[in-house]
Amino acid sequence: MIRRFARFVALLAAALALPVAAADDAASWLPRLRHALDTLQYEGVFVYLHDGQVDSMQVRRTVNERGTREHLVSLTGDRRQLLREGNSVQFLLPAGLMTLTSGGDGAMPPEISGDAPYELVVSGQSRVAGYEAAILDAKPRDTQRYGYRLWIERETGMLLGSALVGADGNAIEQMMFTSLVLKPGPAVAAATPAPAAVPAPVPGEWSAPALPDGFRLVARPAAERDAEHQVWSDGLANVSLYVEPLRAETADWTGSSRRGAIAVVGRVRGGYHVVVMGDLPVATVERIADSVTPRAPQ
Amino acid sequence: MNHQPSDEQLSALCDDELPGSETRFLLRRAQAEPALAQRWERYHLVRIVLRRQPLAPLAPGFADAVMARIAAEGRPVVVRRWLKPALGGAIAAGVAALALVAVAPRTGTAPGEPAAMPSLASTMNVRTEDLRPMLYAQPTAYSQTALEMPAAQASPVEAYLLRHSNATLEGARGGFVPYVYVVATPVQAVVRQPEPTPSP
Repeated sequence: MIRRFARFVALLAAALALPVAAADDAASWLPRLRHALDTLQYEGVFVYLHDGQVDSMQVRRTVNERGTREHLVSLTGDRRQLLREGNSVQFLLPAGLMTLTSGGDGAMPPEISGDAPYELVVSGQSRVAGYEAAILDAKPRDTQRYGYRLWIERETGMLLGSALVGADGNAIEQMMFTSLVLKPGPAVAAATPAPAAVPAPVPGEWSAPALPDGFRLVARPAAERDAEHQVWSDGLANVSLYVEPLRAETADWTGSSRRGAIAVVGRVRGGYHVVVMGDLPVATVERIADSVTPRAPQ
Repeated sequence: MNHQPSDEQLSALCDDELPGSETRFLLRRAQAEPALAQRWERYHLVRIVLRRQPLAPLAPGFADAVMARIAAEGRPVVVRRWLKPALGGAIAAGVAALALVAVAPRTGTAPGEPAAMPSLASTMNVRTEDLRPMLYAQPTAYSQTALEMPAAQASPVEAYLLRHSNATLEGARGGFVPYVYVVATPVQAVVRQPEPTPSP
């Protein structure tokens, strides 16, 4: 009896200690999540709630000696799918096929640390698609960005679900796996040394002073002369800034719209077309777009 | 006994995971057996389109039509890719390291010849070889960015969004997550149009 009581006390103590340990460990979940998405093999189906509708998608990621292959297919609505092999991306949509090849020249986004624009909290645990999940909340410290709730598989760090939450507490969008099979990546992948750190990109010829605090320039994908594409990140949210010479075809492509959590804002600045998009509130993206200006010569 | 390949075999073929000899065997059978060709068509359609095939929707019985055409012509039809800047720069063109293109076959013979818009007829100008999975083919990349699809069907947002997603893979929510926005059914809610802004 005494032994059983001692065992009960030990289990109770462990259970009480768990939230404290998890809370202390909140900052470690995002790197684990990043690592899991990069190294695991998986196949699953998830639902994506956005704009008042539900999409279902299937994702499959395999890794072998020929490289990494990710295939994302919509299971509802129009047939839309995306295949990524290495740095080649092929996107099939009803209107046609797009192929995108990039040099993978992005720098790592800022880490969410003590002075980051989000407070990370492990707020609980749950079960998703049959897996035990830790619930990680990233609470924004201002109203210029969304909050995130992430369901992360406890053993592997795999993302099982996510929700973007607006300032009013309502979910802007939600993604959740309904079935998922996880497999470790091949040993060859595990043995592959981490890629060398990519230096921060050089600032471009355009700036956006209204970018909220905490955003850092992480990529400047190559663009043609007189055009620019900048990618900014605060560690969770991402913003793309496109500045291109104005053309008749796009002169009226202005205004503000939203697609899921992605706000898209178009502006005309003199002879240039400015497009800003990112998973931020529309008002924030509008402020960013309105602030875009040529950088003063040094 | 005419043993039919299993779904797993066809799926593996689609994923390039069959040994070479088995791949060749199945493809030869697909040419000779209409039923298998149709199954194979279904399995490969997505990958074929992703790799090589055109923008227009494929007609039901596509494999039959291809076989009939091959039989009628008795010779392979030359398949060339065409390029046509459709949005005229809605997407800023190009880059050495980045290309955004779509491809479709045409029957023209000379580079620089005016390109035809994709049509169902053009989809029939394919050889049996074009329906085979391109096991080790590299995707076509060009030194300029151009969205190659009819302007009436293409949305600049799709291209911007794809480039945005592709550039944000390194984030904490990386992996496949940025592409969810791209693949999801587009529901674009217009928030507001801006007031006319005088040019500086």
